[in-house]
Amino acid sequence: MNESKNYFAVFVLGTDSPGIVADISKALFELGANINDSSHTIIGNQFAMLLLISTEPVYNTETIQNAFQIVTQKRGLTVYTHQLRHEDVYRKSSEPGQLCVIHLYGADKPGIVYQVTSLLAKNSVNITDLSTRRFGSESKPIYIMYLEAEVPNNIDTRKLGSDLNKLALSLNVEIKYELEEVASL
Amino acid sequence: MAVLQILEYPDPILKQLSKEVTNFNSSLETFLKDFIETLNSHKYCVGLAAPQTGNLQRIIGIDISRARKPHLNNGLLILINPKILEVSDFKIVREGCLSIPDFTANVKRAMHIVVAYQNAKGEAKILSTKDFEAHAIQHEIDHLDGVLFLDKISNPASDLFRRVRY
Repeated sequence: MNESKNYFAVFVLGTDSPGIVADISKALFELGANINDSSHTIIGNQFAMLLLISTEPVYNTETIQNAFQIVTQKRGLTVYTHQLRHEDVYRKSSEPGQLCVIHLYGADKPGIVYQVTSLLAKNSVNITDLSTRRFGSESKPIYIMYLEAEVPNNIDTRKLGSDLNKLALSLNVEIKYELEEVASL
Repeated sequence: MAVLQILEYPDPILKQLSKEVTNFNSSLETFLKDFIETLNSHKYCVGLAAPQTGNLQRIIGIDISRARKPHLNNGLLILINPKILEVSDFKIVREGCLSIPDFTANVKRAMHIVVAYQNAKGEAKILSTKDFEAHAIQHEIDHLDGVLFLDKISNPASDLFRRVRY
């Protein structure tokens, strides 16, 4: 991280169409901003993009919003800019924990995401990636979830695994739970 | 004895091909002492390749006993001119690299390998190993060919992870 830069999180949301990414990156290029991290997905027919950008220190949220004015008007996008404190640019943790991957699938019912994530929260597990999809017929929808998380080293992982299995039984879904050490090479 | 400096990408040396070791002499012995000391100087580090220290020779060091958690292992192994003879049982696993310190990556590795190599005295050996040790050996042999985990990932959003700082 460069201390002399300003950092912003930028959210972009709108109806998907070809060329949105090019228009957004053009606006940032012309501003002289650097795209440090970005993630972009389509949810339904909505284009959703999240960027972490860095700029010269003269820029603030207003100047960033203004830079997007043409593209937001042309494409009917919603853009939200949030300035980051330097300590929030990169993740920091004194205790990295263990990597945990959870795959879940089964007949859809209310509360799957809530029950799994609240069990993890009770165990101080930090979710780092989560994606879900609902598919199948409307009368018999299927739910699928993929979750990555960091489990603190002081958590009893066997008990967590057995609690997840109990939850899978009560929700009548399949849960696969894997713990892995990150090889340091 | 000295702890050697670890080169970090984008240092171009990390993309070069390392040469076969032909002389099992005292200068190799001296290098190996420093190399092992360097491996041992990094917490939980289970493997190192000579080119990571700027030495373009086909030498890797593996020590799975240094991992955070216990895994089946053969202790400290110095593999010179290693060649993988057999691979099977592939799995996506997560790895970090001292030469790319800010990230970890999901990489497909064989969970069972057979590797031919020479030990520090130049004697020919064969090792059949699995799981974490097999995984580490493949990562280090990649270094000898100028291959990094950045060559192995497809989508940075799903395969590359910013490392949580210790």
